[in-house]
Amino acid sequence: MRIQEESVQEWWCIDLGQSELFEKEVFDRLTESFYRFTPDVVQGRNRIFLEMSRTKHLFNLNGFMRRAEALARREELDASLWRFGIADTLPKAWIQTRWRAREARLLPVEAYFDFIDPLQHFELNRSMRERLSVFQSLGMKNLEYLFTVPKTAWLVRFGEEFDSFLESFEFGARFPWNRFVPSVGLQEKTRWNAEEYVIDAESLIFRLKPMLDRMCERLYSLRRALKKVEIILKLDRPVPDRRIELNFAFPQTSRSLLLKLLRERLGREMDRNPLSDPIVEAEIQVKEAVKRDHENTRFAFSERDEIEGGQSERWVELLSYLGLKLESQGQVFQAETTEHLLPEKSWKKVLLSDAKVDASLDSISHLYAKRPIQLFSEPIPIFRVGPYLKQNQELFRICEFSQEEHLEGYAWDVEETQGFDRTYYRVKVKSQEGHLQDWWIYKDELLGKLKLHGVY
Amino acid sequence: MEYTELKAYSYYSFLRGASSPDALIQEALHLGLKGLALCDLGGVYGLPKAYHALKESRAFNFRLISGSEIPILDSSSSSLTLIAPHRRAYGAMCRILTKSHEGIAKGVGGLTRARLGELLQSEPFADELILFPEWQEAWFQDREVSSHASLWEMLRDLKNPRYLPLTRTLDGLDLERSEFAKGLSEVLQAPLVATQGALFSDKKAQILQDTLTSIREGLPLKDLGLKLKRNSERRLKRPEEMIRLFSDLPDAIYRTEEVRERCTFSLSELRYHYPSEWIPKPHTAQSYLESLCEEGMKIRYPKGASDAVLKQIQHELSLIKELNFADYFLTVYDIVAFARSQKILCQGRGSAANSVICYVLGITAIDPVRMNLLFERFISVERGEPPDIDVDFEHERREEVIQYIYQKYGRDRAAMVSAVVTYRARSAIREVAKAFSLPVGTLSARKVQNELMSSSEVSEAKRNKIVEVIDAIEGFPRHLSIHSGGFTLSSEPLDTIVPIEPATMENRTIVQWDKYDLDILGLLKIDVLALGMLSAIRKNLDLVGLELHQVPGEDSRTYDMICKADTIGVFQIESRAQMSMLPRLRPRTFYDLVVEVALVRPGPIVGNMVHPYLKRRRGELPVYLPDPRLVPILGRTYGVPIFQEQVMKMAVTLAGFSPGEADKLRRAIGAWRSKGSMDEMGLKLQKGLKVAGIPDAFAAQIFEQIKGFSEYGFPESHAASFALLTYVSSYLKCHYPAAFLCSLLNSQPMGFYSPHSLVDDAKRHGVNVLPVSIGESMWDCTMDGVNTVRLGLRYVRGLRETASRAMLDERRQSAFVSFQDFISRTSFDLRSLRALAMSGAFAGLRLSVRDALFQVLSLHGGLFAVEGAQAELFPEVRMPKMNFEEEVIQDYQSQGLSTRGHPMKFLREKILAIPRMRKYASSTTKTVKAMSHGSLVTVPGLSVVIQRPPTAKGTAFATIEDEDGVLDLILHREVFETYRDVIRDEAFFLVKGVLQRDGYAAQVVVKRLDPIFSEIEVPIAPGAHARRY
Amino acid sequence: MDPVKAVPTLQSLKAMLQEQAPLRTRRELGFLMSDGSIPLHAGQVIEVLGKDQLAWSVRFLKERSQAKPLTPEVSTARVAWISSGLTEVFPMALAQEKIALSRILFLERVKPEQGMEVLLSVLRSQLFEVLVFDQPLLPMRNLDAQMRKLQLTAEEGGSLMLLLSQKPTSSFGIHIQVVAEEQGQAHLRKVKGGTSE
Repeated sequence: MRIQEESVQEWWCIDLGQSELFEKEVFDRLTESFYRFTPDVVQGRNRIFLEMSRTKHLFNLNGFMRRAEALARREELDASLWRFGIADTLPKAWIQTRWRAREARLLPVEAYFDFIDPLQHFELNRSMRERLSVFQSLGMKNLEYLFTVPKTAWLVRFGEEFDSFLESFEFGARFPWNRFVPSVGLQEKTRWNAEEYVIDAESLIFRLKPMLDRMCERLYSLRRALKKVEIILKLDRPVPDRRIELNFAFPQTSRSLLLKLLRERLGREMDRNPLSDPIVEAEIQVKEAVKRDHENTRFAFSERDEIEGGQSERWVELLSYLGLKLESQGQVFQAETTEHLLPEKSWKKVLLSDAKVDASLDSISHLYAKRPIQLFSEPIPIFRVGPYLKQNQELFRICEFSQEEHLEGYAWDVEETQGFDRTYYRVKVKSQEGHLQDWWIYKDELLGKLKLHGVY
Repeated sequence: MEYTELKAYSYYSFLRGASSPDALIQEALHLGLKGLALCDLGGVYGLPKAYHALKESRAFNFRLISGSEIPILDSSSSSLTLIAPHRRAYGAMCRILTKSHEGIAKGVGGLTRARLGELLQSEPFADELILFPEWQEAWFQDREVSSHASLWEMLRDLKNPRYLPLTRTLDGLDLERSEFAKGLSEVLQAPLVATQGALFSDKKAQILQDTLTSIREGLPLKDLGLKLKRNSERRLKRPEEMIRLFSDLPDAIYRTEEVRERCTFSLSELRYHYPSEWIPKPHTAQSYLESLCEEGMKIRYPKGASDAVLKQIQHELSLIKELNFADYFLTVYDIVAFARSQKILCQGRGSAANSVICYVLGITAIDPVRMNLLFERFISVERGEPPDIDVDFEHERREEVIQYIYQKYGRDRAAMVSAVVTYRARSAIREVAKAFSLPVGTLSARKVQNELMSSSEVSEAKRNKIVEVIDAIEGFPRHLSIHSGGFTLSSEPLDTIVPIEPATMENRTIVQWDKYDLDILGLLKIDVLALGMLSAIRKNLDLVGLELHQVPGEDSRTYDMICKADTIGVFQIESRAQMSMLPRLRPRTFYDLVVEVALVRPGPIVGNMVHPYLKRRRGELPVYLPDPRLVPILGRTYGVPIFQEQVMKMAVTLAGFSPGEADKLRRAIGAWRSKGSMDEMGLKLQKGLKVAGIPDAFAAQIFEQIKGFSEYGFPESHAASFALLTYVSSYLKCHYPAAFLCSLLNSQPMGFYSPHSLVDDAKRHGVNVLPVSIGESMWDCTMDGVNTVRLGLRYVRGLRETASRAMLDERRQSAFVSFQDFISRTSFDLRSLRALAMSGAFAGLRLSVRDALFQVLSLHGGLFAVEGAQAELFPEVRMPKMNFEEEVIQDYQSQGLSTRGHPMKFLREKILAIPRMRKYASSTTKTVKAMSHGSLVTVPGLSVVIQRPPTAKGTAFATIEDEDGVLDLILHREVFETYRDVIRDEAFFLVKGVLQRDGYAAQVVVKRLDPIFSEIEVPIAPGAHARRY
Repeated sequence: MDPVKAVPTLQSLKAMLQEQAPLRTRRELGFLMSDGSIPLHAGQVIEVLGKDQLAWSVRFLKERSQAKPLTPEVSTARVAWISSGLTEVFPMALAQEKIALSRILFLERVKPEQGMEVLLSVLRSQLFEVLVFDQPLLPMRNLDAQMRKLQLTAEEGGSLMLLLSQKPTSSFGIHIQVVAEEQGQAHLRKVKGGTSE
């Protein structure tokens, strides 16, 4: 039983010609913009079908072409790649676009699959290639040959697949193609009249608060956390809008913190360049929202902290505050031991936006001999002078040498260390004032230099 | 105070040790150590090589101690090192190692703690093994002795002497570790002994050891972290360094001396005899051998042996008695007798063919006396090395022989020789690049080399480092695999001499030593090899009802065929170079065939002996032999030395060499070429010849020729055994072409040409070949009358043998009447059914290929698929008819050959269609061959063979084929380079070039190649390396 | 009692007040200085001087973490190590002293002018038991007022402060001064309310 389309249809097909799949947003926006030509829009793989029979008379072909090119330019697409096809059924329109053949019967046997799946068909997969090779070995050079054999013989052999081919070839489609429906954007906008004289941060905040609350509600419902938001302020005078962008190191959901950060940022913004005219309209646009994973798995503590009442909340707040305060990277971190042989590389910074610290690694630390509490970031050159060690002009008498620890290797490490060969000693020394000190020195065997690397 | 390193690992601890056994020995000697214990993980792989290096270095007062480390399989992942003080303990160690590999094909094997303890008690003499209980870094971490000591409590009830090894690697924890070790040593009553656990011989090898660790762990170098060694301390050290390192524990150093004194075992004590318990009681091995010889002589010399033969036999028997190799010969005789009894065709080859005894015992088929061969080439007293007998068996029935050997001698007394698979540049590059974290993925080695290494992301320094490591890693062993056929047998259990491991191939066991180790230690080896042509010849003989010895010798029709180079499918002389030599050499006697087989080799070509030999044979050059004594030696080869034996005979008769020295000369000659200069043996020969009155010019010319070939030179005995098979296969091809084709087709894959060339060649000789048919074909090809061959089902690609055999049984009851009848009575799966349809096997049921396929599809099932009945619905539906071209293409796709005709037939119509080629459509290989020397020819053809031998300095040799025959082409370097891609991608060419004629042989020097496009897919011949150069 | 309460005595007033608004009581931290002489309260500032100040601080943290082992209940035992320059303390050594690195938050290259702000924000988060920071982070102007502010926020958050300095700071807010010269030995230089050498 076939659903009979009321009137004779006219399907236009636009193939965008690009082989790899389009980005979803760009493709949806482009398809949405074709709404101005006809309500019936069907989305396929990098191709759009328009059922134009009812609206064809509203404009002519090159009018359509000019507008289509304008759309392409707006989305930075290359319109020259586009190819068009017009036919009375959607599959035939696709065939016309792809094979250019006038007479469907003379098409090569590969067109068999274009009929079966006009929307998604792109490449022949293994089973399709196998089917085509069977046709070829049976001597079926083009679609015409297929019809020399009684239809039921094919149905017995290929069943449903051949059935949908016949349907699509002769009647256009067994069921109506499902139409495209656009999705909703995420932004909040309010206007107020100039007399309210909103010119400073505080009054603006007062107005932004309700919008912010709604925004947080919607985000919460979408299980999203805010990462990047833009505030656009329209002034009374025809002056370009003031755009303020807020980018959070850690996605935010809590309303109070958002407000606090917003107030501080606006305050700073207003101090730097105060407003000349009152603001008449403010719009908050969500630029980037991240999927909100479970609240407290973020940092190095267990559910237990949750019970402690908002611990994780305060930790998040502190870290985001510090993140904003100390601008440069790597100032806020936790330390984690690594398996690198060199002492200065035997630990690494775990920046707080990364994963949490792997506490189990601490256990490898006792595979080494005792390490000094203090490790100089730059090892200090020292010189052996008889029973003394000279460190920037000060002599220290050597009281006791420990057993040596020989660290050597990484000759293959061309990028970083280019290989090293150090012999470490723990040396007890006495300064001129008689203070006893416990040094950790090493002899760089490659350069033959002595260095003080740390103090116990 | 001296020092002996008691735990050294060679690279035979796979992917752990970083230096070869001989490098360890040389470094140990260089550093002044008093001894070295080689304790590889899980085996004694490196011992023979270390023993050899020690013998070569002629060092005295240095002791090589044999040991090995057995991993403990339970949780604590520690291991126990065994040291063998004397021969009996060494035997026990080998048996324990064999047990540690049982059931584990690859890898290091291992035993659970309990099993090891039990073995140390049960194995005879195992209680005299010296034990080093290893302990792990993890034990030391928590500083707690008692729980770990309990792991070794099995030591308490063992009487073995034991020591606790202590290694100091200067990681800053040495003192604490020594305290812990002292505690453990008291509890276990195992005194401390100092060792360095040497993983490499010198500091620079550390980067190599890191790379090996990276390959073993499967992680790139930068992610290995603490799996890397912290420094290069685990290397061989000078005695003074060790004494200073253990200055607080001097007796740990002294104990290494103690252990060294205990160990007196040396590999030279390994001697064993071949199993001889099956020899009939009254006889000893020697006497039984002599009686067999008498019987053998009656068969080989029915008219009575000449006194030369008798003298030779006595000489050989006395030599065998002296070196007591009698049971070795008897073992080989037994294996060959078994094969004869099972009608498995076999034939000894190689140096064994020089021995009359082998001929008389039926091991070889060449009468060395008649061929005037040289026994010393096989066994010589001075050399003292054991003989090496290779025996070829039919490749399809060799497995029966191997299982017979296992079953007769038992798996503990017979095992195959192992072959060490080593890293070569090609295989090393992928692993090393991965270690340096290059994105290797599934790139082939060549791609990694050309593209990845030279890409921008790899810095100059990194590339040099990778190349440095690759050069160092070359030659390192990766794993053990099976030698192609080598067997070693012994009277008493083999695993007291060398541990035996299971090989990756099931029901195969291998010894841990390869064939070089066996030579070093003077142990005996038999090669049980497979030869495809033997199967073909046996099948052919069965078809025509002949026996091998009934083949008449020196048949003139056969030699006519050979001289016309009509030898496609014949053993040894079917290759491209051979076929071009045959018409020039025109062999007329068996010895000519022996020369033909030996002449077309890189050696003679390099030693430029081919042209002088041909010219002298044709009489164009005088045969000049200055000394009458040279006549019996060089006479038969017209004064040109071709065989190694000829040089040895000259040395013996003229220069006064002893037979043993002559053999040493043979080995030395090989080195001349590589070293470029003659060693003292060569000088002695020169002096000897001068003294014998040979003019200097002649001697110099001889030397030049000898230098060329000896490395590649073919032993005369070897060439003779091959020549025998060549003659037999030529005879059969000449007199029984159909049976010859049928047996060749049933023994594929083998030989130089692919089945389609063999079929076309046979058809040119009047054999008609019937296509595959479900009504008549069996699984193998069968004879259908004297001159017709029926293709077998085995040639239908994608058809399973089991289902086909079931169909054949079904057919025996009653023939198949219709497609439906066939379907209902057979159990083929869809894939096989479709393959059958595509091969046109249903022609008997009036179903063309397409109709058959259409019927098969009905069983495919689909929405409306209904049981068999429905399929009958459209019996009369006919698919479009196929023309000749489509049918041939279909045949090639389905069977790789076509019985309908040569593809060139339909291709000529295609050529007619192309304007610039139209006028050459009719020219064939036959018309071209009839033209005169130097004329310009153009001929279309199918390229069958393309070869580019390294010795030909860039020129390539090709062969094209069409309905009338084959035509040889020569492509000089520039011609080949310009058409390299065309040759690789296309099968059909229009060849334009100049014809060269040398007597009967004709070749075309190619000027231009135009591809003729056709979608036919021609399979590449296995032997012809077509398109692979 | 009649509706109009009798004039309360001083004690009863204090008791009444105590019931309604508990006085700001000093949160006992429940552990003492290593030599057991001085009770430690939240909000105290201990100034550590001498060459061995880093080692002493680490030992102090170690004793503290042993005194109150890291049981699930005690999850607030976090340490903030704030330095004006590069962190010189060696995490591998901390791990060897069995101090859990996952509990320590490092802040380095903090500009002196941001010092107070950072310290206050960290204290206000009430997540840290011990705060270690160096002298440059202290403000120059009206030190005592700022110290008082630090002490109050710290007290509220239950945190203790170690100040690593080169020269002793003369400020009312420093409770205890320790001088650590050779390994292990350290002597008290001044205890607030106690005698000062």
